[in-house]
Amino acid sequence: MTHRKEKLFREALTELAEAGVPVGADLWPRVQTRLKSGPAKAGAYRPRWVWVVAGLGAVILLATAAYAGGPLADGLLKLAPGWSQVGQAGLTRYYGLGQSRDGWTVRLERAYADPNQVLVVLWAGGPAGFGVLDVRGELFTADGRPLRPELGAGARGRSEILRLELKPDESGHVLAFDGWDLGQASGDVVLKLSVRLARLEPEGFPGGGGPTPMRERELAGPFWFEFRVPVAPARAEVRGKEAAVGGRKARLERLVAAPSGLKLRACFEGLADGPGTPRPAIPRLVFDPELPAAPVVVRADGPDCYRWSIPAGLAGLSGRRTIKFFGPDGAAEPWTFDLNLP
Amino acid sequence: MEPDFDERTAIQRLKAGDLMALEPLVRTHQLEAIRTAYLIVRDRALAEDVAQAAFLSLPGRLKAFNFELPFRPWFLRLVAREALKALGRRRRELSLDGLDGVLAALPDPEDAAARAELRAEVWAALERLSPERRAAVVLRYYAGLSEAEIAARLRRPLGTVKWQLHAARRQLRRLLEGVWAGSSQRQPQIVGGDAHDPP
Repeated sequence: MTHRKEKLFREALTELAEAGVPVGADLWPRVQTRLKSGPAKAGAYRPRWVWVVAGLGAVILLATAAYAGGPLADGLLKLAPGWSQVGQAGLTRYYGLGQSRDGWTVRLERAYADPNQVLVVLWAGGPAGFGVLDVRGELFTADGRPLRPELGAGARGRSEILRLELKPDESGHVLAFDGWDLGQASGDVVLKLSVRLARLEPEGFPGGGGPTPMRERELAGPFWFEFRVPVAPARAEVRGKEAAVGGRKARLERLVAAPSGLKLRACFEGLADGPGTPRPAIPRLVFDPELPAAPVVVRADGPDCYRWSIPAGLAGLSGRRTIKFFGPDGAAEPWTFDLNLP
Repeated sequence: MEPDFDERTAIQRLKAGDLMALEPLVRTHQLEAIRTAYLIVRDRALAEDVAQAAFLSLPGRLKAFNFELPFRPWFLRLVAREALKALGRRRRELSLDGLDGVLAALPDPEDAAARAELRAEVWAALERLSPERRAAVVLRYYAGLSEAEIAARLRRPLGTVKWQLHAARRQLRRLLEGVWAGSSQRQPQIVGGDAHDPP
């Protein structure tokens, strides 16, 4: 073929392929199912039986090898119920993006995003003898907007409960960032993660019997990762509900139930100063029926407004629930909101 | 296309038994794998099955992978082999029934009619090739592999692949003669561009 004909031929092949198989095909759920259940039971195309038998053996052996040590993400995500459900549902995406510098290595293992939280699971390792590593992560959208950090958890050594076994000088970390800062409720999002490795060290001697002053010693970094992650959709969202107690209003501005957990923002009129506090204290949030035990992050979010993030897991959220906010002034009657979560 | 993850690490971890390391490889290479298979087996559903089988076979086949070489051509050759095996098993006559939908889904370039005619003729001409020749042509002209790269994975001597491609090109030239003639009337002439490889 001449160059021109070859070019036309290549273009025709590309156009045929693009038209016959448009962008959007996703084999991973099928492959994942096959990995978990063994070779396909039905389908238009079956491999030869020899492959099936050999493949089944390989799958079982490899799966055993992979799970015997406990994958890092599966173990670490058990640290909060919502994260655990995200991990069990296979919603996280694997990257295995590793970077090394001066003997230190950071690997982005997995990431997950929904409208409430963005989770990143990291592995870090360094030269022998450096002790407990801490990671400092910053997450940005593709256009450079930072996502506020919400929670962080780490592990090292061996844990039967988490089914983790890390070598000395290795550690695993989960960092959770505020998904509301994403401003995106579905589709894919490109994120940039900066990781610094640090270590807390004693600095000087304690004075007056107080705690030993510590300083953070930065060891390595920043390690930069850029990755694309799908945003899992929210299960339910509630906006703009109001309640009043004794003439004082409270407004549940927004509540989002997503696979990673629950997040809500509420604003209160005329919050009295809590006893002995120089600024208004945070209303106490009570769920009826109670939520499964989970860490709770509360932060001020504008004047007289607060944001709660509770990675409680959707399985524990569905059904009718009442949210009560008890004011810091000790009033017996709370602001009450009735919800019906799917 | 450069993968946006550490492909080498994923391959090494997959080889070491971490099956979840397949995920980034699937997500990065699935579209090209399905499209390559589609051009060979000419059936979308079968192409997806072929690509899936190729991905699932990776843990066992990576023993043969040379880490010094790039993964993409190695894997696309694996897809082509799976496609040939699938065709051999099914012995299915694939018709042009799906072509109308294919053509309708294409963009509408300036010379849409000419390009649509070319695609239809190329699609029909590909069907007339034997599966082996078709696989060689798809790997060469769609996936962009070299003759040596094709030979390595199709487990055929380089000379055989060269001959297959030569024979396929001759056959395609004959099958597409009318289209080339038509397209040359519509395309600007390239003076001297054809001197080394006369049709």
